[in-house]
Amino acid sequence: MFKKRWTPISVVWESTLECNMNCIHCGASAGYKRRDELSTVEAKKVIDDLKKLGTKLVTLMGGEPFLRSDWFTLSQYIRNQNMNLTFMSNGLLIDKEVVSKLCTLQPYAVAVSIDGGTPETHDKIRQVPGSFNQCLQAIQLLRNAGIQTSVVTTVHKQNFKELPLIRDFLLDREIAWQIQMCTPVGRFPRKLMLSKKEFYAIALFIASTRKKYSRKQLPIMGAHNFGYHSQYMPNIMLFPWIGCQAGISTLGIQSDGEIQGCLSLPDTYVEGNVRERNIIDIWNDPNSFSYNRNFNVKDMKGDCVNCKYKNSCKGGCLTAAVSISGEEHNNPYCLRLIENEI
Amino acid sequence: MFRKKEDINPKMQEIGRLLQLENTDICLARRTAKHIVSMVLIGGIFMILGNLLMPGGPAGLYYTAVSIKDFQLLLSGFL
Repeated sequence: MFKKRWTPISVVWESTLECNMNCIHCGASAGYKRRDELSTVEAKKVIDDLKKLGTKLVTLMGGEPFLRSDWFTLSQYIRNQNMNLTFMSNGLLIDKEVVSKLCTLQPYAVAVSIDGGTPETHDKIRQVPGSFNQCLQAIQLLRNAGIQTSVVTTVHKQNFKELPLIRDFLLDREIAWQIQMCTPVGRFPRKLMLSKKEFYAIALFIASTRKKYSRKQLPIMGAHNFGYHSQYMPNIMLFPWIGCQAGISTLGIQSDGEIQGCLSLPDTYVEGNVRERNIIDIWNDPNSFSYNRNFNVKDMKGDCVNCKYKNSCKGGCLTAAVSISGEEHNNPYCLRLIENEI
Repeated sequence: MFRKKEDINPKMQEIGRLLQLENTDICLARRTAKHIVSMVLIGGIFMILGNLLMPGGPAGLYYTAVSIKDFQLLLSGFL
């Protein structure tokens, strides 16, 4: 019962890097397709292998997943293998036709990014005029069709003050809301990153919103980089933090077949390519994902070294640690650490 | 080491003002004894039953984009 299960339960798949937005914070630097993205046949083979590995949920993201011409074919293939399916979209292409196709797929969730409480902020960040209103229309279409809908907000200096406005919009709409901190990866400029105090203020916002409104009114949560082990606040993530799951229970697939434990990690964390090695072999290779699978408490660095939760926490989100401190298992954006500093 | 409540409250209130949070919001955001007890109990139960019953094990299915269904999973009402 307690043996280590390394199963890619949740797989995040960048189905294409092509994108019809140009967000200033994009961690994937999306825009154009990768040079040699997986074909439909290759993608189906990967889906077959994921099923064999025990995957239960595939999240299609991009770029913009609905830009891939065979998105519906691949989605049906995933669902026919009895795996759950989530889409992470910018919302621009979600019209009645897409929604009617989505209805047949019965997705686990369709998540749309909202990065501002006003059209000005959202459109400025996403660099597409009119996109805020289009996103709201997309969300309305999804809800009208009874599709499980989520909103993902990526926060940085340009938009964090608008969280209360977004909250007002989402209240009583049966939409799940995920708030995540933008870390300096991809094309996101470090100067726009939240200060530690701003980060902490957002955690307070999430915690107080959870108390103020019921789960039915507003299911809200902080993403994996909103932790950890605060001395004064309850857990604001969905589940208790049990350490970064990259290569443990999650897997990322780039559109050209490169495999990572988590798609937000830099390319230096690529473990192989499905065109060169079967994804099952990559996953089962004892040398893969060693930063988490072979984690030793001696790997901790920075202020995390002195934390009593270091064994289970492992320094929080690996991407946040690497991109902010430059070191694995050393994450200065930690509620507990900040509480010791303020 | 826990600081005295009166020491940390003004700091939290000051930080909360960055997001126009009122003092009452800060009070709501504070962890209560109920949170602590339930987290200890639920954390333990979660690790055991999560392995057996949760579709994604104790980490849940959620990874990149949350779904309302994730909020409805085992024991989530307590967390």
